[in-house]
Amino acid sequence: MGILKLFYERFFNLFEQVGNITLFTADTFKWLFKKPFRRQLVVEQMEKIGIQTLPVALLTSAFTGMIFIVQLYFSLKEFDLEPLCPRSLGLTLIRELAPILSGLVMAGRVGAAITAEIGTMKVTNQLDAITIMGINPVQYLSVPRLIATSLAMFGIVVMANFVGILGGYLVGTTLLDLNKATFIAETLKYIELKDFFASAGKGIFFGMIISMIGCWRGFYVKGGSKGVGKATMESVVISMILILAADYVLNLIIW
Amino acid sequence: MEILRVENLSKAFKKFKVIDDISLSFEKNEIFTLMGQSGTGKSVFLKLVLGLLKPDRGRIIFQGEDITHASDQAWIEIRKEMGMLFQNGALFDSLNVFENVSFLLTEHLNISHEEKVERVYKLLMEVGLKGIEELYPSELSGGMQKRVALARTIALNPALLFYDEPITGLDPITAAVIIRLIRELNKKNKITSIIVSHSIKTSLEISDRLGLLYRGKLVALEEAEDIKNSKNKYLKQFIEGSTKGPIEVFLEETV
Ligand SMILES: Nc1ncnc2c1ncn2[C@@H]1O[C@H](COP(=O)(O)OP(=O)(O)O)[C@@H](O)[C@H]1O
Ligand SMILES: [Mg+2]
Repeated sequence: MGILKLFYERFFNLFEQVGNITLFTADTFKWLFKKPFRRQLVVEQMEKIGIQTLPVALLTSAFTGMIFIVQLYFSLKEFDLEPLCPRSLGLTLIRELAPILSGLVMAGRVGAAITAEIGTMKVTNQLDAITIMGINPVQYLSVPRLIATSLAMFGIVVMANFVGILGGYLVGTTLLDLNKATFIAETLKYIELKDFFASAGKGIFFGMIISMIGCWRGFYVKGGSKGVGKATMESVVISMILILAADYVLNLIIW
Repeated sequence: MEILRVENLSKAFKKFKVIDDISLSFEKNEIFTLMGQSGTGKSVFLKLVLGLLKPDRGRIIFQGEDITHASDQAWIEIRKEMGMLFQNGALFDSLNVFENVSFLLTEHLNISHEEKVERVYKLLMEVGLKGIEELYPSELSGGMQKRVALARTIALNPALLFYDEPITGLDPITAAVIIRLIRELNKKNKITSIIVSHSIKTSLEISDRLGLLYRGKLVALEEAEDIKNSKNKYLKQFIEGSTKGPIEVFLEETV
């Protein structure tokens, strides 16, 4: 009985949360198209997000490319298939690794920061203060973050693609015996424009997940500063899970 | 003349009645204090009147207009006429003093930076502060934060100001400064002031009229000069700070 009830409550709770997130996102999109548009706030957020995420995301992507090419090389070399390395590296990075790794990095840094900031504002009445001054807090806080995380993820993923392949190229052509000219030719030959757009599109979508979960969790934080800490952790975990799940679904749709 | 009236206002959280059928009218330009122990629903009352919480029952009439079910858009206009000083000040801690005080000006008026600088200077002078525009809230003392918050609140000259525990937690001298400010704003700027407080001494000192809240009900309502001779048992007990009377006292009462 106890377990059934617990299971039922958990399930119901999950259902309710999904509904809440959806409503919150819909609300943000509603305010997205209303005036005034606060460009300054978007710029501020982009700067913050860029500083928080870009270095770590690029470093992660570069090292992934460098490590990945080594594994590919030795696996494929057994069958004399090592010329396939550039193609495998490029496609895997662009289609999967660059957007996912950038998304996870951003969730850990930006998602956490957003929840902590808005959650603190909530428990110290700053959100109420915004409302009382005649401004919608979703429009003031959530909208700029939605735009900023999406645009920033677009840029970061594009750069992560490049840096990741560059990392693979450097290791592959210096430490391993892959040919420089064919490496570039092969990479360019097999990467289609569609892959590029899918990659950037995933990035934008992951960016939206991060800001929406981050803001939502902050807006509905409960229980003082302790609650903010808990919400921050939850925000990161939920964002990461959703990014991985969304990636799976997007793959089904795109390919 | 009446500025604000609530009729049969009720609010419950999970069947626990926090505000229970309160009807009360506020006169233009008066200083009204709503007293009551901690946890009796004073803050909830303010939030109801400001539209931050929705009442379960009852009506709120502001300047002759029923605003109980006003639209979000209507509330934006209504709130330009109202202000609230939160218990903790609720300054935006990511903005400096200048940005905090000019918040309403930036959001609702289209004025030049020079004019903003001038008006912020004047607003800060009104609350007895000078030369702190560049500081952040975390660099200010509690009393200064409250004064800055007050300057922010009066930027658009509201007709009605709510003060939630304006002097709780302040030293006696800082408290006296805040009280003098409330009075000055009431006299000079003709701001109707509704104060929520559990401090009897200052409530008696400052108010034209007082009400006492107990378990969500309004149990006393008196002109300030009649308070001392009031026959009201609740009021008597509250003012004397006695444990004997209609107000039940629990020894494990938490603040
Ligand atoms: N948003 C809320 N949800 C649930 N309970 C609340 C909420 N806000 C206040 N309460 C409860 O209502 C009661 C009155 O709170 P409050 O108005 O803050 O008291 P005070 O008179 O000290 O300002 C308290 O028991 C508090 O726990
Ligand atoms: Mg309170």
